[in-house]
Amino acid sequence: MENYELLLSGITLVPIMGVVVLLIWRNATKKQAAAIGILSETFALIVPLVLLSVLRKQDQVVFSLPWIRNMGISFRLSLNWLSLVFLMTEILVTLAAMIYSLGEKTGEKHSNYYYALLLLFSLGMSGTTLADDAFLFYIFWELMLVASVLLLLVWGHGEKRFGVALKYFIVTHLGSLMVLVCLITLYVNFGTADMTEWMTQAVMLPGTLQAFLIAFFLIGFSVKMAIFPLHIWLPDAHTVAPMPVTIILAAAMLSMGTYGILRFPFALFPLENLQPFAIWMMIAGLISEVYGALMALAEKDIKRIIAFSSVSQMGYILFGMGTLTLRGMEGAVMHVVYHAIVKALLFMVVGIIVNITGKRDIQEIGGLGFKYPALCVSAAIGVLGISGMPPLGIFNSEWMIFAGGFDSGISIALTVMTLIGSLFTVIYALRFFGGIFFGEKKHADLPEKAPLALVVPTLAVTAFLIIEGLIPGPLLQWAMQGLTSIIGGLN
Amino acid sequence: MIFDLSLLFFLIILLVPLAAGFLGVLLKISNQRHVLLFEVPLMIVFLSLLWFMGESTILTGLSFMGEVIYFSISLNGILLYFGLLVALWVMVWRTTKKDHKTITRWQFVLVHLALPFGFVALMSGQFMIRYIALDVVGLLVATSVLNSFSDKSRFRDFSAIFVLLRLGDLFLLVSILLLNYHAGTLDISQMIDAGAKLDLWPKIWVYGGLISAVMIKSAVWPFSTWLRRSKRSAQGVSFWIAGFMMPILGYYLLYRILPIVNSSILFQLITLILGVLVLILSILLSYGRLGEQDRFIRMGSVSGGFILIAAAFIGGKAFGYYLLAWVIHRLILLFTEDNNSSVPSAISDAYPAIINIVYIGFNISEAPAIITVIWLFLTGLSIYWDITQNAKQKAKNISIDGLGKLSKKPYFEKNLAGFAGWLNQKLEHNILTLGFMKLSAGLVGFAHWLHRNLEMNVLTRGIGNLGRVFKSIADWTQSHVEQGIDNVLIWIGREFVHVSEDAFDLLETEIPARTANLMDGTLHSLEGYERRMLKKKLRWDLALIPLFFVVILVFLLIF
Repeated sequence: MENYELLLSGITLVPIMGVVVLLIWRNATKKQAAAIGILSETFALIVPLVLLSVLRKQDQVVFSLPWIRNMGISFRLSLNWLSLVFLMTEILVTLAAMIYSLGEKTGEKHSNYYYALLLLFSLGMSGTTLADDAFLFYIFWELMLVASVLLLLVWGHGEKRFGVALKYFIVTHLGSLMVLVCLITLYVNFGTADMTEWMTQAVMLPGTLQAFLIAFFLIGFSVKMAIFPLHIWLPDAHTVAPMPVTIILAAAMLSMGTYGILRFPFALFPLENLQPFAIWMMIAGLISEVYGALMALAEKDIKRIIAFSSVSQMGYILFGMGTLTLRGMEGAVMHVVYHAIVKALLFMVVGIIVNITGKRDIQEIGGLGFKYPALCVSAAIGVLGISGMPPLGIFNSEWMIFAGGFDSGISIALTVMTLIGSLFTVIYALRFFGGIFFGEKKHADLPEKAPLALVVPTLAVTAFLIIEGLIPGPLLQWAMQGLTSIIGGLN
Repeated sequence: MIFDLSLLFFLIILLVPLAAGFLGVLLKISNQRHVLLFEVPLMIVFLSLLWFMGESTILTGLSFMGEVIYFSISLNGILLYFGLLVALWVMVWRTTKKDHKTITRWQFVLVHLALPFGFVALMSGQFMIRYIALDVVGLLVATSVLNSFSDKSRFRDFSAIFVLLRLGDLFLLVSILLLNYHAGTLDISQMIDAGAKLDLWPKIWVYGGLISAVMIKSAVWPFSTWLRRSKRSAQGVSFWIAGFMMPILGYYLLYRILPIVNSSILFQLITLILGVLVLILSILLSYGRLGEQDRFIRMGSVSGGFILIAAAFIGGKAFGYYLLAWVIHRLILLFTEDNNSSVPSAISDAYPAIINIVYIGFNISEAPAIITVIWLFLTGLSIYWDITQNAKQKAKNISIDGLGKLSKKPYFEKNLAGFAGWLNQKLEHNILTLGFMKLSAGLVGFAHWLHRNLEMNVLTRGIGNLGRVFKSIADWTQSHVEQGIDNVLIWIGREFVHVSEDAFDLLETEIPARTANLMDGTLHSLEGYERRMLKKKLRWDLALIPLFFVVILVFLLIF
């Protein structure tokens, strides 16, 4: 086994070690626990960067250990260009959330458990992204859910959190069960859980079975993506969760649904078999885009406004994937990354506003622009970013998604509606921004400055958003290489 | 030549405003007016040098999403930017000379951002870069009305302007992406050529998107609302972005898409009709809105009508000069706004006629005679209405009924005024203003309705209710089914116990007792029998019976 293969396993093993240390170190202060968590995640971030040179040579790095031999199950991790994009996004978001946590009150008590669960949450996502064995994939998939539910239950806001956590668990688990049905069906048919092997054999399955599996996979993963009307878990979960967890949920975990769709139905089955589902994906994407935007427009709670905007943004991604074209899917993958950055930024801004005003109702907030100019600039960039304003990143991904719509040749009108529908995003984003930063001041005793521990990561994410938008080249290249390597026949 | 002079001049024009803006903010220069008064002529000099270098293509070596970024230096682009720079300089010069602070740092920054982006929008040979530049200029137009955090009405103006201009951008994006799909490139010239050759159906989409974008960005009726808001709220020289740069960029877009407009008689007719409608309605509607709308907006929209009419039939390079002439017209309009204007009234009044007559004269062979006649008629009409309107404003006579006093044809004027008032009420007020407000309110209302009825009642509370129903069913099942089974089991258990007890009584108690009695009786009987038998004597004679059987057996065996 090569050294770099061992290094790959570190992305999962080091966070596990971090968790173990945190569980043992019960008296750890919040800063100590955060240090362990941040160090583990930083290591997990460095590894893929180190492996980039290897990836350029061979397009894939695999770490494999036999696990349950007589069942054909192994501990097999694989890093390719596509998983790299999702992995980096997820780790960066978690890292930002962990740093942001330091300025938050969340996790003051039982800090070791809090950071251990954050690490497990991240591990679930990293593992899901890297797993090349269906059994392993599902374990990480559920780990992600369990860790996030526990974080919600223990550190969530208000008594409502028990019900919300239960709803979140049940609804997303229903989606997971649909995925599980597909995984078991494939396992039974092929006698192995090796996902790379599935890619070569899935074509031989009967057409009706393929259609059934595609439909189940799409619905199952759409629950995680929070596509209307399967989004019902999202607004409450995002609202009740502590802000760092909300950031991870919205910016990173939603992307796991997208990854699942690309990794299973799109990678396993021929594109012509996906064709009947294309228009439905595009329509569902359009509905989700408009519905999420309208809900964000009607909401008063600033946290829920941004939560609903996730439903809308996921609509763009589903639409892009539904085009079944290279540009559409590249746009969708890039949108995942850009959305993650913008969403992390907007939630960070919301967190600071809640921290300084103690309010979440937009009608009770106002006139903060003059007092907190840096925060106002960050929010403005976030709002312009989510509105698809060039040269910020989402513009790049959005126009590629729309271009994919035209390339697909399915319906010009549908793509035009989706494109013009993006105006709703501008409207709710402006309402959010104007409501908070303009108008009469509604608070008498506001702190002179926003907490530095919250402002610094927010400004860092703002800068990152601008840089990502101005230099989209590497991301575009990774997305293109990743997609063409796992999905054939794209044009 | 060691280096390309065109590139050098191009970079200077692009970078001078950026550098000046940056240094101006960094060094906190107080006299922004002087900086601009010096900087703009400098740019004009380099622009002239660029013009002398002739039309060329400047490759940047950069790419956007895999497409090469390059700039195509065209005479028309340079002329329009020249016009824009002159307009800016005049606006700066007109700011009061006593108080240098009339150009605020905010306005200074906005103008310095608009200058390079406007230049890029005019010169870019790649459509997506042009789109980006237009989008940014649109944002700057909207931002120019913001000057206070506490005044929320300014933010409302900002939102309205931004949303409308963004709508124009989205229309433009539809066309760009469709053209890109058919042309396979983002090169503007190639895309336009490919667009002109498209089948009618996709071409309708392309044309629709482009003409909508042009009309919105040029602020012609019915999209002039953003310019009106900007005129009301934008301060000082920052209005130059909204009043000059944005409309000129819109018209230049029209100039670039002329091959598509002229590729089909249908599009030519639609453009012509749009032009005529814009022109007539702009005048008529302003006619009935005395005191509300100034000449800059009104005649700006009128000029938009003329430009659309020109685009429908007379294209080519001459169209660029025609556009430049209208830039100068806008400047004259701005000049003549105050009563102390140095421009003679006759020049400003007759200017549109001069432009149109000269332009038509030079291109007389290109447009059909009927169009030329209509064009000239509309020119005369617009000037007549413009003069009447100015007279009204000067006379401070706000009453529509008072129009008759100013005209030599009271009957005509009276009826026209009445019609204009009616049209204003029905079309502008009821449909466009109230309609738009109702649409906005309807959208928000619909969002709230959907939020209340679908999201909260069905999807959120509905799920909760579903959970409660589920719990009720579970409770009922618990009490009726689960408990019932329990009861049955308990009954069966009890029955078992009863049966067991009965069986126990019967089998384990009664029967053994009876058996014991029976056994006792039997044993007693046997004992008595034994006793009786023991008392009897033994009969030896009976022993002979077996012996007798043995004898018979032997006998049978032998015989």
